Amino acid sequence: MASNVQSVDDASSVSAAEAGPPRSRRAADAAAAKRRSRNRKLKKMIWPLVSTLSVVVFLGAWQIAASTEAVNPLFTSSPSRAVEAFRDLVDRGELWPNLWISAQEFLIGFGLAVVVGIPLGILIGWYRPVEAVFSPFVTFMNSIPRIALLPLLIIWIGIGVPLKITIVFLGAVIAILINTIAGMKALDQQLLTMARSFKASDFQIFRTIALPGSVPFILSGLRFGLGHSLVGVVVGEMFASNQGIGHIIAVAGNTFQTDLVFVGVVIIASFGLLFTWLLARLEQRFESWRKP
Amino acid sequence: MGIPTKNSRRGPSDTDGQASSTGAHVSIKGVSVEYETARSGVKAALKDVSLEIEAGEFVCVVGTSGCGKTTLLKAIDGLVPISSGTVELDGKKVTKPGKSRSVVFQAASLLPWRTVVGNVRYGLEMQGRGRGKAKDDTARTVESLIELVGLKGFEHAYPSELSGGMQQRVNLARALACDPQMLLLDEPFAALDAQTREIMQGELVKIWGASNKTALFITHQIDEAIYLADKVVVMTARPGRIREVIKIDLPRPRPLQIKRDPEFVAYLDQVWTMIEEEGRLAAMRDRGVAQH
Repeated sequence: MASNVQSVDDASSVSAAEAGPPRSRRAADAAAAKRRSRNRKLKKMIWPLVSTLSVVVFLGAWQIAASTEAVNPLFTSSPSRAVEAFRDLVDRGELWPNLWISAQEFLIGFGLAVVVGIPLGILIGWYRPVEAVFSPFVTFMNSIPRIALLPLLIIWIGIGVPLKITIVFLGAVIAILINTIAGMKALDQQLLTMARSFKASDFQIFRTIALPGSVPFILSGLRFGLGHSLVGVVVGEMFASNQGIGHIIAVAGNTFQTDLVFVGVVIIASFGLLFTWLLARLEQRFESWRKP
Repeated sequence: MGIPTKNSRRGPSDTDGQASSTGAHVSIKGVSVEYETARSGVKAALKDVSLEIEAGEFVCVVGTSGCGKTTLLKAIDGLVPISSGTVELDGKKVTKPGKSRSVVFQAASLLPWRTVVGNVRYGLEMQGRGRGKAKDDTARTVESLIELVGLKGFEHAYPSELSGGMQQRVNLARALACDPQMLLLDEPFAALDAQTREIMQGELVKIWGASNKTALFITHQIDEAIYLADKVVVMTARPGRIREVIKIDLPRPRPLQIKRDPEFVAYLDQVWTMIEEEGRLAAMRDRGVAQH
């Protein structure tokens, strides 16, 4: 899309230049540049606007379809019914305790995954013997959906909060591990040769090249881990819990309260969005050097 | 005009007295470098190379691509193992990278997450210098080098914010910061546009002239070699041997216009003819191999 606009501008400036002497060419170029920069500014504003509009239209259409009973709101719910259900949930005092339970499970599980995953990934990626010991397990855990371990985990841990913390942890830690390991191994050979030529020791190379170089990988590991964690919270609570947002969704679904299902889904989505945003902030902080 | 290299010209030179603090005398005797390939076994990259470089001399190495120019540079730095022969710096045998030499790489090889200052001081850091009492000295050295290579005002810029020429200036400053006796430059201007390259050539000669370090400069640009060098080494096609060492008797300082001087052009012709012949011989040999 962007390149289309660009090439149209280029074409017009070239044809203007061919028609006249150098001076008019310069003028045409300047005008084209101005147009391009204006276009760019406009584009920057226009796309978020289009996205917002798109969502508004979708919600409006949904609402209208449900209110006019073009579709059965018992099945589809509607934005207004979902808002109503949300208010109910708050009024009954059920939102905050359940949200707090889910948040705890997520934060503790994900936090542990970070604390374990990053250092262990660094060790595995840097020391060949450590890799030899751990890599079969990492590969095994990565190739199965961790949810499949749920029955086993219930037998071992029961269905309390610790169970969900474990599921969240297992979901996130593998993603973080695998990305951290990849980051430690993706060393830029040219930088390595450069460091060696300055007599850098292995530890210096680790500290000044491998570690900072793996930061983008670790961050993308966190992003993947975040997704797995949210799945862990919801599925864990659906199958083995009597509280939490996942539990609310499961109960609401079983009792045909589609409105409440949507409320639960939106709450989880907001949670995910919030943490994705926080991660993006973190990324900006770490990678200011990447921006030209 | 060519001087056969086999008969060593080692002897007392007028710069020997201050060799340890400025340039180093380099003696390369019968050096061969072999490497193993997966398909065709052991191959020779360099074969029986002998060369004497006087203290403070500027030597350029030219040859067809793949003739082992970079291998020669790496052998002098100690970055590749030598199969036979010796490399000596002021009588001391080279086996691994050391403080007496710094490499300026073809790719700028800058750490993208470090600023200009951080990159220039990298080599010093790796050599364990610039800590404790020497910290202020190092800071001053780094500052003055950044000014020397013309990057004042860009101290805190990241490599991604610099042009190719500016990145190479950082690369050069990093090598100079370690105050080596010998600079090893591996086609440092190859990726630059013609104009920037000429500017950089001029500045390099100025910087080298002020420091009196020994310099070995790899290039495939014949005019660049003649402009910079006291001595141009022409290498044969693979495996790399020294074909001829040509002394460049042009007065210094050399203005850029010297490149149009008849004497300069005569050198150009001489070197160009040799390299052309090497290229033809290599092509013929490759064809011969193909026919078998």
